[in-house]
Parts: sequence; structure tokens; C-alpha cells
Amino acid sequence: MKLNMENHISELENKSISIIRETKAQFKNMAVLWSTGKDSTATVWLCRKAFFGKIPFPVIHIDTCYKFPEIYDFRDKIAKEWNLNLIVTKNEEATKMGMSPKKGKLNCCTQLKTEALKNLIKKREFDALILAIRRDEHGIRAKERYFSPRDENFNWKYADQPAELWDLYVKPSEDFSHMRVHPILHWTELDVWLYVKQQNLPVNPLYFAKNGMRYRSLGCMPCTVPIPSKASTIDEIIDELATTKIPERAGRAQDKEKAYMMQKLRSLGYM
Amino acid sequence: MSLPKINLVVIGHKDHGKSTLIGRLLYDSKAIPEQKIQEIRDEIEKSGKKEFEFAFILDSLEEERTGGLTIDIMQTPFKSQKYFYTIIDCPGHREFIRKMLTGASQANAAILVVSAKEGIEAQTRQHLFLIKTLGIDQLIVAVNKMDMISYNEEAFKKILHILGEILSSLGYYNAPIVPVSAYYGDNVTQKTDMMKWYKGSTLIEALDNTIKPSKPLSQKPLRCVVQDVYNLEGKKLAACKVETGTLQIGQPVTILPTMEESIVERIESLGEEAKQAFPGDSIGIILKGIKEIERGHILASVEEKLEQTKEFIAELIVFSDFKLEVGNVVIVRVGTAEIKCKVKRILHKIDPVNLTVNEETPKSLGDGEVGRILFQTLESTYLEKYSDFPQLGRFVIVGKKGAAAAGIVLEK
Amino acid sequence: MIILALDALDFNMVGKYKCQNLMQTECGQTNLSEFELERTVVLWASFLTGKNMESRIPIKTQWEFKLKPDETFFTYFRTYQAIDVPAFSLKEGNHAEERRLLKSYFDENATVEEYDAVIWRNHEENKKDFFASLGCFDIVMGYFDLADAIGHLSFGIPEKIEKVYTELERIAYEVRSSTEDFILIISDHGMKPVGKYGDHSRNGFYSANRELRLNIPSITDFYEILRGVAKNESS
Repeated sequence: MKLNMENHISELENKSISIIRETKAQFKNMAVLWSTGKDSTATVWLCRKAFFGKIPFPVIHIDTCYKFPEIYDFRDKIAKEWNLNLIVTKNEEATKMGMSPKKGKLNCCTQLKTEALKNLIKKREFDALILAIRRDEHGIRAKERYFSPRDENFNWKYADQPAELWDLYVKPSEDFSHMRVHPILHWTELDVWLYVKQQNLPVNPLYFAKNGMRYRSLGCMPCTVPIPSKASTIDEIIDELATTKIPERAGRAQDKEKAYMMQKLRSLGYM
Repeated sequence: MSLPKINLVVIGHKDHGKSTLIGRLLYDSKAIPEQKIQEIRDEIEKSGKKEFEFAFILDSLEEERTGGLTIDIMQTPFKSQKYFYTIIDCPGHREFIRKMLTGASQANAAILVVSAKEGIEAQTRQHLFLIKTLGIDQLIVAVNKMDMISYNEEAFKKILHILGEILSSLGYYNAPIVPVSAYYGDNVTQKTDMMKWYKGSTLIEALDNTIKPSKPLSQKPLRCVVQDVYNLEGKKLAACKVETGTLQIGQPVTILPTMEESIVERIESLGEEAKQAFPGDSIGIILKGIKEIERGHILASVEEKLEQTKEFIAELIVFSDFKLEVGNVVIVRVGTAEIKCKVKRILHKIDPVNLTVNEETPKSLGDGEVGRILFQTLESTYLEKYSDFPQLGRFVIVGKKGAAAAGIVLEK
Repeated sequence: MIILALDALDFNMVGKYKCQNLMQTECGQTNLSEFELERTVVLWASFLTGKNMESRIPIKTQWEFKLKPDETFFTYFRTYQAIDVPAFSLKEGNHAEERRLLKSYFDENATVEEYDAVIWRNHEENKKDFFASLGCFDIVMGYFDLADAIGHLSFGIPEKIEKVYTELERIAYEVRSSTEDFILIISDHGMKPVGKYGDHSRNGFYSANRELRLNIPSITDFYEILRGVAKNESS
């Protein structure tokens, strides 16, 4: 049983690493996004392993200025330990103008996250970005590909995506602005925790239960809600996940529905 | 717990009962908790639909996951005596071949669903042909809706006869054909009394018996593809993926297609030095005194006498806004290599619906068309026949928007 | 001939609220499986022409897409009136305003109440135009987007949806009690909840006040039926 589990994790890891190396080999100027959450921390770790310890491209952290203090501490500590070429970016203009979730959560996300990233991509001319999304995370992600081309407005034309066959991840010869690459698309939330345990990865303390509550995914402070939980160790989290019925992003469900609806109405041509 | 994993693609004409069959398989193999089934029953009752149908299981899972978009890969595996099956669902629309190919390219085996009532229709043949083009050799046929033809043996035999011809024309000589009613569960996971004349196995038994786990890749000759070359402490470190065979320190290897020979000096596994590496491993290799190594190269054992590929014949499907003409030079991506190839001849074009040769020596292949092509490689190349090494015998043609055509190498 | 074109009228919901007048003599679900996305303009254009128009209508310019009369079944009728019909006689100003407010809602510059108010106002306008046309033409097709427009932001709120179905049921009742003419009620697609919001579903609906004996027809199948009706009327 144990051996099988290790085999399973090792298969996931090998596939992810080969995808990361494919990206490096095919693109000139790539970067990886790091929120400091468990998924992206595991992904940054995979990047380190892919390049034998030293990641040969920048690690981007988008600072919305509304993050938990624990996130900043964790980020700076790991960035130093892992010798990361860290770029911290923020939409200063919007922050100065007083952008906050009070002006609309989606609006706030767009301004502080999406716009900040758009500006950075433009300035640094990145042609590929590694993101730690997983297929089991949210409905619409079941349609994602490993290599997913975006246009300059970040639009994802999911009804019109190129085919992705076997393990042949292909860079289009033209017709895209940058490539989103998803090396852990095939992992589940449980897989990530098993990997964290197996590799002994550092974990943000917010994930562990305190006074009967813990965070299952980490966004900005005002918009992330903890779930009731007693899990205060990685093993307990793994046990909890094996039995839970609450979706991972329950804390952010309403916003997700709204965001989903917006995406869908756009794809239907309403907006 | 240690059952091998099989990815199964379910194909067939629209409305022949793919969803019902998938729902039935998941239900009968208890892949879905009773509580979930009860929720679906309640939901159906509320919505005013009369009867519980197994297709609803699928609909409900789909809604939950995607809010109603057809999904490419189901997340609910089911278990038999021998395997862990994950179902890849293919959208039935004729025009969405790209999605179907994306899903089917991840499959180890296929179930073809044919309705006994409607018989063989356009997409029955087309889907079958496409999975053949993708190199899926393991096939099981479910002749569904037997209940709607009163479980009649003669009617089944008639279909058997027509199916037999199509299957053998595509090379599926021994595919088992099981008469089932997915709706009532006859012969899916349980034998039925309704078809005493049928002495064969149930669908799930047929799956278990027909699907052979591929020969362990580690027992095949070594093929290890180079993804990239890094500089490690002044030495060239080749980042590689072992596709087949095993690799060990001290092993003499040939680098294809340059044919340079060398010896494996060091293997860097993920984070540690290793003595050997196995199929699926992503590793780094340092070779002794090597002059030239780059992305796209392949390592093989020196004992094999291998030659560069000058020409090869492939079966190919075009699936994007793209036209392949005789004399064109295209980029063929196989393994990690991108090879300039010339379309020397288009041998023939095949009608994927009628499965007949449409045109001998046509001038071009367009969107949605399938044909057999003789390619001439314009740079030194090594690739494999699909039947020998699937990993190095399947390819895509790189287009403006990504993969524009896909194929497998039949001969070289 | 009267066609009541009700955007997003959902087969299951008509049953759920037992809308007898919407159901008429024969009712059923339509088959949309040949379409990749349930786009309003595409589906109505396919209904009007009897052909799958999906590949011919780009998303970006769909609201401006316009069929010529001779591409549609209207051409078979001597006189026709099409009120606010997508891909044909859409009231562009009204719909542009609805879409602008929808966007404002997501940008949090407008409330759902402001949005709803405009939808209901446009609905009343169409109702007036529609009832004024009955009896004056060989065929009248009236389009109402109430269920779709309200549904997108509120399908998960039962009180609001019940109100919409009650209103559409009343329109069906008034049409039915005013004429002996052939009445076809049809939707482009259905709707399903996403939290409190609503997304297009494949549960399209049709009904008729005479027996057509259709078995889950495609939305493109009605073209021939309407052509038949026109032929009978002119002969």
C-alpha cells in the first residue's frame, strides 16, 4: 500500500517535471507564479528539482497588499532558503486609489491581481507562465490543457483550444501572446498534501487548525474564510481530506460562482 | 489497491447510449456512493422526469464538476476484478474532433457502443476509424439497446455480421462483441436471463479479458529522449525522459540520430545521484566525452544497429484550419524532436465515414481529412514505427495555433 | 400562425410550475446536442433557417448578425411580423442596454434590481407590440427574453423565477384564448442554476396546440413544419 502510494506520487512528480522542462526548452522567457499557498509552493519545489536546485527563471509573487502577515513572512523566508529570483509585483496605482474589496470583490481581484500581472508580463515580455492550477479544483478547470495559449487580454478561448495529443506539448508557431503552463493539472488536493508530506515541504501555518478553524486555500485576508477543522498536522489534514465533502474553495464559493457566471456569459457573447 | 490503471475511451454514434452505459458501469461497480444516487433520484423526482435513467448519473456528475460543459476526462474511476478504469468521455458532435482526439490520445483501450435498434451509423465508423488512427488497438464492442429489439438473437447476428466486416477491415480482428442493455443492466456487469442464446462473457469480463497491460516498458530496448541540455559544474547535463528500457551507470549508448557513441557517466535523479533509471523517470545524464547532444536526440543501447530515418509512411488526420499539400515542408514533432519534413506523396485519402479509399494520390489533405502520407525527412532524424515504440512513433504537425494534424508512423 | 419565442424557457421548469397553457396540446423537449454552445443568436438563427448556423455566426459580432427574409421561413408567408427576433429583427437598442447593465452588475456599478427593472420594462414593450400585431399578419413571431435575462442573475431564487413563469403562462393563456390559429411555443435552450445565478442548459422546450407527434425534435426541424403550414394556408 505504502509502496503504491509512493509510486503514484512519483509518477505525478516525474510527469510534472517533464512538463516544466518542456516549457524551459520551448520558450525564451518564462516565469512561475507563486502565491505561497501549498499548490504553488509544491510547484516551485518541482521547478527546483527540474533544474537540479537552482531555478533559472524568476518566481513572481503578486502582492495585493491584503495578504495575511503569515504569507509575507513565509514568502521571504523560503525565497532566501531556496535562493529564488523573486519578483514582487503590485498594482500601485490601484492601491493608491484605494482599491479594496469594498469596491466590489471581482473588481478588486481584477485590479490588484490580473492587472498587476498583465503589466508585469508586458514589461518583462514573458512568453510562458507556470501556474499551479489543478483539474479537480473547480468545474471550469476540467477543460484546461497543460499548455494553454492566452491572448494579450488574458482571454482563454476554451471552446476553440488547440488539441493536445499524448505528451506532445506544442508551442504554436504564432497566434498567442503568452502560454499558460499547468504542470500539476493532473494532481488532486490530496495528492498535493501527500507530496508535501513525502518531500517534507514547508507549509504556511495558516493551513493548520487553530481554535477549531483552519484555512484550506489562501487568498487575500478580507475574502478568505477558514473552515471548521481539527486538523493541526499534515497527517490529520490528509485524513480529513479523505472523508470531507466540502469543496476546497468553499470559503470563496460565492465569488467563484459569480466569476464562473461572468466567464460563461462572456463565452456566450453577452459581454 | 494495487490494480493497474486503464484509461478507457467510450465512443459511438450520438444517442446510441454512451452516457447510459457509462452511468450503468459506474453504478453497478459501486463507484458512486448510494447516498449520491439517492440525491440524484430526489432531484429527478423534483424536476418531474418520470424515470431514473443511468445517463442522469453522468449528467449529475458533469453538472457538479463543470456547470454543464461537456468534460474531457471523468474524475470517477471504477474498479473491476483486474483493473482500475478511468473513463474518458468523448463529446459526440461531429465537428469537435479536436476534443475527441485530445481525450482519446490518453486512452489505453476503447469501448464502442452500437445501438442494436439503429444499427451502424456514420459516427460509429468515424469514431472507430479515428481511434485506430490514434493507435488504440484494444477494443471492446457493446451492442446496446438489446431490450428494444426484444433481445432477438437473429437481429444481433445481423449486426454482428456487418460489424465483423468493419472491424476486420480496420484490423480489429478479435474484438469481443457483447449484446447488452445498459438501461436494464443486462450483460454489463451481470449475466442476464433475457439472452440465454448468448454464451459469451459480460461486458466487464470482456474488458478484463481483452485488455492486456502493456508489456512492462522496462523490458523493451532502451529509448531515452533528451528534453534539454543544462550546464552543471561545467559539464553538459542532458535532461532526459526514459521512455522504454533501463539505463545504468557505465552503460554504452548510441546517440540518435548523430550515431555518436558514449558511456553513461552519471545519472542525476530528482535531487540525488542514482545508479539506474526506469521508464517514466525524468533524469539528468552526463555522458563521457560527448561532442554533441541536444533536445530531440535519443539514447539507445549500442548493441542495437539502428539507422537514421530518411523516409516514413504515416497515417494522419488533419484537424485544424490547415491544408497539407504535396511538396509542403512541415515541422513534425515526435518525442522532443522537431523535424523538418517534406510531403513527398499523399498515397491516398480515406473517407472516415464509409471507410473507403476516397482518392488515390490526392493533391492535398484539409481539415477533418485522413490520409496516408509519404514523408521525406530534410534533416538527420531517427524515429520509430508506432507498432514498435508508440512513444516515438506518434507525432503532430506544428501549426499556427498549436497541433494542426496528428498521426502515427506505419512504416519507415 | 403564431410563434411565441421564449428565450430560456426550460422544459423541466414548465413542468415544475405546471404551466398548462405553455404546455398546450403537445409539448416536449428539443434536442440541442449538435450545438457546442447554447448561444441565443445561433439557436434562433438555426430555428429560422432550418440549418445549424453555429459556424456562421462569430461570437463577437453575433448581436449584429441579421438574416435576410428569404433565408428564413418567413419567406413562405404572404405577410409576416417578427417582434424583436434575434438574428432577424432584434431591437438592438433595448438589448444593448440590457447587456450594458449586465456588465455593470458584474463590475458592481449596478444592482440586480436596476437590471431587473430594465428587463421588465422591455418585456412590457414587446408584449404591447405583440398583442397589437395578432390577427393582422399571416404569421406573427413574438420574442421575449424575460426568462433568460432575469434567470442569468437570479435563477437560483425561486420567488423571482416563479414570477417569470407565471407571467409567461399568462401570455400563453391570452394568446390561446384569443385565437384558433396554429400556435407554436418554443425556446432556444433551457436554464440551470449556478448558485443563485443561471446558466444555459440543453433542456429546450416546444409546444403546439395541435398534434405534431414529434419525438425530441431538433430546433432546426421546425423550418419544414412551418413551410408546410404556409403552403396549406396559401392553397
